[in-house]
Amino acid sequence: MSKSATEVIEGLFATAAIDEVSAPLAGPLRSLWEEGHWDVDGIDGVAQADMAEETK
Amino acid sequence: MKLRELELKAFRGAPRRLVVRLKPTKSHFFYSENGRGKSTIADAFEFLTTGGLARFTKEECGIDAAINLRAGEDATVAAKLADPDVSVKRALDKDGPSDLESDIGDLEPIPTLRQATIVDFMAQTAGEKRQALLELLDLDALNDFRGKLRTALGKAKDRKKSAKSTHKEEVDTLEGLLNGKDLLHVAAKYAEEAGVKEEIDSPKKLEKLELRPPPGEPNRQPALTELVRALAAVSDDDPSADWNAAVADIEVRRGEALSVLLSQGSKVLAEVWPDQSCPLCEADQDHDALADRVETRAKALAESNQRLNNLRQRLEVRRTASSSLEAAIAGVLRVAPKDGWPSGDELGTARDVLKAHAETLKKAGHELSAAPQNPDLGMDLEVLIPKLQEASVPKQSPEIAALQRLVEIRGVHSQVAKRLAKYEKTKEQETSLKRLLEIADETIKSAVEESLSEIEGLVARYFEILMADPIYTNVKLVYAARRSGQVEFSIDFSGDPVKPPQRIMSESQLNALGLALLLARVKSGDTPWQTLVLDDVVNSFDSPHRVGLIRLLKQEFVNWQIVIFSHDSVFRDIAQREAGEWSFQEIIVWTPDGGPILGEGDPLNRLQQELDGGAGASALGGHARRALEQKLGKVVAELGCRIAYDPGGRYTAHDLLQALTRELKEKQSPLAEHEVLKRMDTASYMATRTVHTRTDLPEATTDDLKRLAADAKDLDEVFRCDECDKWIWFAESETGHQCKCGTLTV
Repeated sequence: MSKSATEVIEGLFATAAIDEVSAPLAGPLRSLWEEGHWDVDGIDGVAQADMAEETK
Repeated sequence: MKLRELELKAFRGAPRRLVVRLKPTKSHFFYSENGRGKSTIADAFEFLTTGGLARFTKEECGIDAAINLRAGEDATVAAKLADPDVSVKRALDKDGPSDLESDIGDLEPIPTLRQATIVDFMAQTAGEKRQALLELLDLDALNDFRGKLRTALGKAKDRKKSAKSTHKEEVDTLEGLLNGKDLLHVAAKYAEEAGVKEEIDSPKKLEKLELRPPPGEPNRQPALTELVRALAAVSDDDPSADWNAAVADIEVRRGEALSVLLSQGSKVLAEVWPDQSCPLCEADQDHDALADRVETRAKALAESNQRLNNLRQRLEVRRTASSSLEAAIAGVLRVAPKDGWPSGDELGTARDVLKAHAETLKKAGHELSAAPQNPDLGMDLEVLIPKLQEASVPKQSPEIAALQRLVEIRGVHSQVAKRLAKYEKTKEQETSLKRLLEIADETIKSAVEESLSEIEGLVARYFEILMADPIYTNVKLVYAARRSGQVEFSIDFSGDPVKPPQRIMSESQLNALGLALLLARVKSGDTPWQTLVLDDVVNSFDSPHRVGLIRLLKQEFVNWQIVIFSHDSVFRDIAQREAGEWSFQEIIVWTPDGGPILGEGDPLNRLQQELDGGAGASALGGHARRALEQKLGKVVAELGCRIAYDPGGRYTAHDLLQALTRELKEKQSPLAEHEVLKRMDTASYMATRTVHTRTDLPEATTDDLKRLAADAKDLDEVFRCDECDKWIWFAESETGHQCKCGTLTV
């Protein structure tokens, strides 16, 4: 039985390769998806928050 | 899970209640011409289970458009299910669909394949096919996930681009400031500040900290600055006049002092030589008074000497200033004068005058006889100095300007540093999001390939059955997760791999390939339904493919309840031949007020029941047409009346009546003049929309339909023998037909 889309995305965030994604982005993005808020504004918001934290 | 019954009301093209009865153990084939409501019924399956219609969504049409406009009430679709035996229902009003009324919760969508689905799938670009395939595999959420990530990545790229552009502008500004002419001092001060060299970490930038004139221009700044200073120094009061006055004064005082000294001398001589008269003393002198006079004169002479010494120093200062001015002018003359500056001639003259003046001053310092005069520089210093200051940059002192510029540079440098940090951050974010997208692509590719591997064998087998031609083999779906991802079929043609299959396959063959994939997905999926709806899926299929489809469904979907809708009579005939055990029904007519009418039961009885029940004429046109056509059609068929061939069998009641009366007249049958047939021929209902589809004709009235029902019943009596109660076509006679007893002949 093949995996559902949810299982596939869970696997995506659990893969070892995710370490290659900046931690301040990877964590919040995963939370964003888990909370069901995976949309462009949400993803961009995570990036902007990371930016603000870095350059403040 | 299968269906026993589907009931729709006020939904799409069905304004009135329409019940579609289905047998769970049978497959059903619904045939009708286009525009008679097939898709209305097919849509009802989809709406019932999903609350929407995919094609409405695709066309950005609100689902409320599925409410029949003539019905005047909200739409409902209900169904009775088998295994489990439950009833479900969903309503639709202008605000949208209701939740499903069900004892078993929500229902999975009934597997439905439409021609458009197949054609769209095969006609899509590889990227679109990828999306379609993911939807097919119930993995479309992955594409949604990826799509949003990709859009966000686009935003991150834009942000990086903007940060880079702003950073470059500020760097340009900084470089412009660092490249200014007045920055020798800035460079010095900047270099003294800790970390400046580290902050500007480019040798080129450090080099630019040095003051340099623009390329091709001499550096006038130091010479001009020096000239302004030198001019300012010589513009003070000139000491020459004082010098000359002081020299004259000391000459007088020296004369006076000598006179007093001579007087004093005669007194001294008189004392030394008292009897001798002093040649210098002409009279008795008050020696005390004389001593006072000598002292006073000596003092005045000393003061004059002091004044002269002071003036000598001033002369020396002046001489130095003049020499400096001379040197400054010489410096300016070494660089090309610019418009508005003092001319070279003026400056040259001034330099010569200054040189001579300085020499005079020097000489005066050594010789009291020298009498220096104020030099005439040939220029008005009161005008010249401000003019030179204006030409000189900065107007203030270079140090002040340099400090101001330093503050400015530090501000810009700080901005540049922040912007650089932001730009670096945007690059890092872009890299991260890009990597996440790559991970998503890799993950999706893996998931899709896993799903495809499960159905690939089925696709190949189904395609083989559909094609009934072994020339195409080894059907595969190939997924490539490139930038946008793509999926495509590959197939072997006479043993050679071909990708994409469009290169060699006809549209019909391509659609067969798409249908094989979609059917394989249904079969391998985990749907609880064993009902499969196929809505006009064979439009582009030739006869062998249609045979293949019926065989495939029979072989591979055993125990499934297949529900096929088709407008194609050839396909219907093939299906009847290949699957005679299926149930075949025709949607015989559709009217705006009555909706689709299924050809089940006796249409005349149904018409009569509806009339007895008080139904209006506008809703019964379809029943009436069908009743009349059935009655006349039966007689025409039994008697073998000649009638123009229509491949679809689309004969109106008028066509049938004409064929019948012509036949009877040709055989000189008295029945040709039977009052029922005559009444039919002249009846108003034959000229109304009851029996025609022309919208320019008037609507039939209820009286028209009652008359029609009565005439249709009477038609039986015309062709049935009163004696033997058998039809006139009971037996063949020499001339044609006859009843059993031979009383009725034609």
